[in-house]
Amino acid sequence: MEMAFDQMSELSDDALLVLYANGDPQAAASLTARLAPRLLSFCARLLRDVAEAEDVVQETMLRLWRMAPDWEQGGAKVSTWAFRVARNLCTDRLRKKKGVDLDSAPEPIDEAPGAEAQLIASDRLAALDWALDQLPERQRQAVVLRHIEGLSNPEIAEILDISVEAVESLTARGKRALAGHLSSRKEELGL
Amino acid sequence: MTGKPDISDERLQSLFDEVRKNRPEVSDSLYARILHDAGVVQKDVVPEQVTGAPGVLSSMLRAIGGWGSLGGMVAAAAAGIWIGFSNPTLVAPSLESDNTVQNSEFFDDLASGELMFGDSLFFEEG
Repeated sequence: MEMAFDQMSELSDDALLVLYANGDPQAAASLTARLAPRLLSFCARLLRDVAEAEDVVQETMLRLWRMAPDWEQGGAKVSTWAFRVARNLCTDRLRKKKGVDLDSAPEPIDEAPGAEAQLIASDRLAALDWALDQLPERQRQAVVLRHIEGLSNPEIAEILDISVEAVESLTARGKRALAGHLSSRKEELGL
Repeated sequence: MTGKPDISDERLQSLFDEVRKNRPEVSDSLYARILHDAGVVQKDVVPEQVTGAPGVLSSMLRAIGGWGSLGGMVAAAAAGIWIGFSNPTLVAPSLESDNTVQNSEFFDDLASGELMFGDSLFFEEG
């Protein structure tokens, strides 16, 4: 079965994945157009490196293609599954880079923004990135998923493999900490 | 970082909105890499569908049992045509006995168009 690209815009991610597994050549393009931008934004925010984020997005999508024949419709959302895989891949890369368990790492004290942040054109966006970097890993992931990617708390709970209540607590504490870090540079950033 | 931060929720929210507007774009090369992977995996997963749906002719060929069966049918059809057009003496030499005269008259009438199909039945039954 082969469908036109515009007809596919009305289909769910689930249905597109099933079409892909059945050999439809357009389904992969439609799913990629839906998922890749969101995944790239999320990964780039976590890794602070677009090239590395692109590698993670490619790997995430590859895993999606491979598991397509075994996908159970009506189960987890495809996007939630993909965010979860991407998040795990990002965490692995960050741990390899830093060589420490980020979840157990102490919350860092205010530091000067990193070199990457200084390269970003907008000072305010760079400051937000810097402030996000100061958060513990899970808080950062929860804040990015909730407030930048716009996912719901139940979706974030599934991605981070924690309860919805834990997500609410993480995002609340994360936002508070973020505001605190930004307050210290309020004058400088004109906030 | 002690005490209540003096960045309001609204200000923080507007920063989040700004970030959303400045998301990195997916490059053409990343799209190409992802779709290349998709094509490779799809061929492994569903080789038949990827090579295209079978055509009408290949479906008919499969229905009659393949090329071997088709060869047999062609041979049988050719034999039938040959039998139809051949001189009856070649097809059924045993008829060449006592009825030779009658037969030759019958085929002469048939050739001249004077004999109809019903006549042949009459001829056979006497």
